Amino acid sequence: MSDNILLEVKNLKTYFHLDEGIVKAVDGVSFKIEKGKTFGIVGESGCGKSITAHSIMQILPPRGRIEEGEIILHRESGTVDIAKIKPNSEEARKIRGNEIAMIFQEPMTALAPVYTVGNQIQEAILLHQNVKKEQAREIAIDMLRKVGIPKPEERIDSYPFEMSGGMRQRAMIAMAICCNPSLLIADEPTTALDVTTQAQILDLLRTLQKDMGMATLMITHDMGVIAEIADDVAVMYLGKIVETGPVSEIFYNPKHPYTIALLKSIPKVGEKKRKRLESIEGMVPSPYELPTGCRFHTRCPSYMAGICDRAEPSAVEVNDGHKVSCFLYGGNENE
Amino acid sequence: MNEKILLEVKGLKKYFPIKKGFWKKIEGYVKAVDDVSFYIREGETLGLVGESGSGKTTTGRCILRAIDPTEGEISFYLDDEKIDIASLNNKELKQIRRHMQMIFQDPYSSLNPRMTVKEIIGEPLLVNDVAKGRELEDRVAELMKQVGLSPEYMIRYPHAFSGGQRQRIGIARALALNPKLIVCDEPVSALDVSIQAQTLNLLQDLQEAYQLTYLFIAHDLGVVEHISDRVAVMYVGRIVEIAETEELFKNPKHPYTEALLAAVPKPDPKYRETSRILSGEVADPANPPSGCYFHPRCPYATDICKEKYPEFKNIKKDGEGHFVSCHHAEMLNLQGIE
Ligand SMILES: Nc1ncnc2c1ncn2[C@@H]1O[C@H](COP(=O)(O)OP(=O)(O)O)[C@@H](O)[C@H]1O
Ligand SMILES: Nc1ncnc2c1ncn2[C@@H]1O[C@H](COP(=O)(O)OP(=O)(O)O)[C@@H](O)[C@H]1O
Ligand code: SF4
Ligand SMILES: [Mg+2]
Ligand SMILES: [Mg+2]
Repeated sequence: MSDNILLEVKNLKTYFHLDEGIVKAVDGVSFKIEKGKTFGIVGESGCGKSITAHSIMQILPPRGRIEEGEIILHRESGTVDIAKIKPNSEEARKIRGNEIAMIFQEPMTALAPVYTVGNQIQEAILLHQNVKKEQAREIAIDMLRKVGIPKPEERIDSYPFEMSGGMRQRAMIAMAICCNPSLLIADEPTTALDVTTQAQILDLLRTLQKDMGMATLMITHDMGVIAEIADDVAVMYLGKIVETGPVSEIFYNPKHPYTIALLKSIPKVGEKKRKRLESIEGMVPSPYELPTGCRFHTRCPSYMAGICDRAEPSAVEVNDGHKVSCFLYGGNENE
Repeated sequence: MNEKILLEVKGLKKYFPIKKGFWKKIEGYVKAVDDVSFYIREGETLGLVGESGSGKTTTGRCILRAIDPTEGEISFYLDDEKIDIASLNNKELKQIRRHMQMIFQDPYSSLNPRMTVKEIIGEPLLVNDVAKGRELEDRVAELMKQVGLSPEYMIRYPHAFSGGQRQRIGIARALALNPKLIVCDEPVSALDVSIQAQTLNLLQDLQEAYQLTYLFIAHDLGVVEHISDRVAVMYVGRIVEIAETEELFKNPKHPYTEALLAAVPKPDPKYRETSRILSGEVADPANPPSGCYFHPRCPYATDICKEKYPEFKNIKKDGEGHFVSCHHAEMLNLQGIE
């Protein structure tokens, strides 16, 4: 089993130290990504999805810091704990882009406006691979073709602003995968796209993954995207994973009241219209005033006074690989 | 809902000139809305879907005369009197605007950050001489309660509120003058799903309580299906299909509608990889393709599709009908959602 593991995140804590107080953006998160598989992280805005990704990439914003935990990358030559590496060290730079690459919701986060797309992909190739400039250009054209950009020999000399949103997204993907990473982190890669373009990009990611054998960490707020692409899923709420398991368990056998509520609150196409949606009461609490005990207790329909607000539930395995952090399932027993 | 038509739009066009160079010479036009016709009945919700740039917002803004249409008729029926919105002067517009309001997508940029919630919600009441002083405050408090906000927050500024709460402030403001029609422009698109559900429920409750009529613009088909009585689908400035919601989702007649329905990621892994992928990209409204605008991407296109724009015709005589603009609508057996 563990031979199949590519990345292991153990009890990761990433905090922001601000004048207003400490934001526990990621607070004790653990999960494993298998080689060649897609691991999905889903949750509403502010729950810590991006900061989890940024921790793995070691690209945290200035006030953010990994406080605790391990991020173990398994390679053929052994393992490395990314959490222990200095963010701007040579070693971190080598992992970034080469072994782990990232794509974003907004392609212009990754693409510089003043250089041609081809230039930027070539730079990435030259940085990590031992090839000549002309070869790099050939590889770049190949990559653009691979991500479905028509006439790549011409498009390689386009500037990002000359491309449509969907094409820019493809160009960014080409840049991310040009060095054959073993893990691609995709942070809401289709959120800004229209549905037909989203379907194209998800299909592209799926195809690339099959061809190249890379693993994907798919971050999204959209349960539809998760259902479409993830093998395993983690549901996050306020910096914690509340439930994790194989995608079929999460959709067909959800256990955590938050997961259940989230699934019920989506208006699904094909569902009988006009009945009221089951919404989750209240709002996500401020990160400066985290609830005691289970962080969901202030909104939970199954809240048990005196239990849920006292201690934090620990993860309980309810089924093969399916873990839930909730006192309904005995979250206090395996401390 | 009753039989009475509240709003009828006929042949609406909005062309934005493309100006180039020092002399701002007009080089062409973005045909943002190009010959759009539909009606909405009193108390009804008409959903308007389409990908970004298809002209949904421009349609909404023309109806409210936030911008002047290039061509077309917009008739608003108030107490059995037909009002021709497109031809009103400014004074007449001010009179009629209280009956037509808008809720915007972005709850962050649509509220003035320097006004308190009381000023934001109360402004339409003040401007229209409906209430002032103590009475204004009472009315604002009442509106806040209706949208699920606590009146004690009246003196706060928008930044102190979450996205969902700001959207409620926008809704309260839109309700202030007891409008008949509300154009909801992607009102839940920027919200998290749990907050989205609360907001959709609120909009439905308010509709029931005040017999509101909605033009509900969105790109999320799940949301549109949930809230709409009928749905119109836009593609590159044109409406390509309109039908009752269930009919449109189960029995789409336009290939673009079929493609949209197939592309929505369904929150159920059993549908994974079943969707056929629509290739290509949305056409440029400044330079649309010949014939049917969808033909370069359409798997069913034939020669006539390249030559002639298909007529918008009703192919179902009962109920609200089923309007579609496709040469082959009657022959195709398209896949809907079960
Ligand atoms: N640069 C930053 N400075 C301070 N707090 C931040 C910063 N970036 C993120 N956070 C906080 O960390 C938490 C998690 O954020 P994030 O991971 O971006 O959420 P998500 O991606 O799930 O929407 C939030 O409470 C957010 O406000
Ligand atoms: N004020 C404007 N000037 C020029 N073009 C505009 C203006 N507003 C919208 N457009 C163009 O009109 C088309 C339709 O836009 P819009 O109505 O906003 O679409 P949607 O709301 O469906 O995304 C787009 O091509 C857009 O760029
Ligand atoms: S008219 Fe032709 S091209 Fe247009 S949607 Fe119908 S079949 Fe497709
Ligand atoms: Mg994020
Ligand atoms: Mg719009």
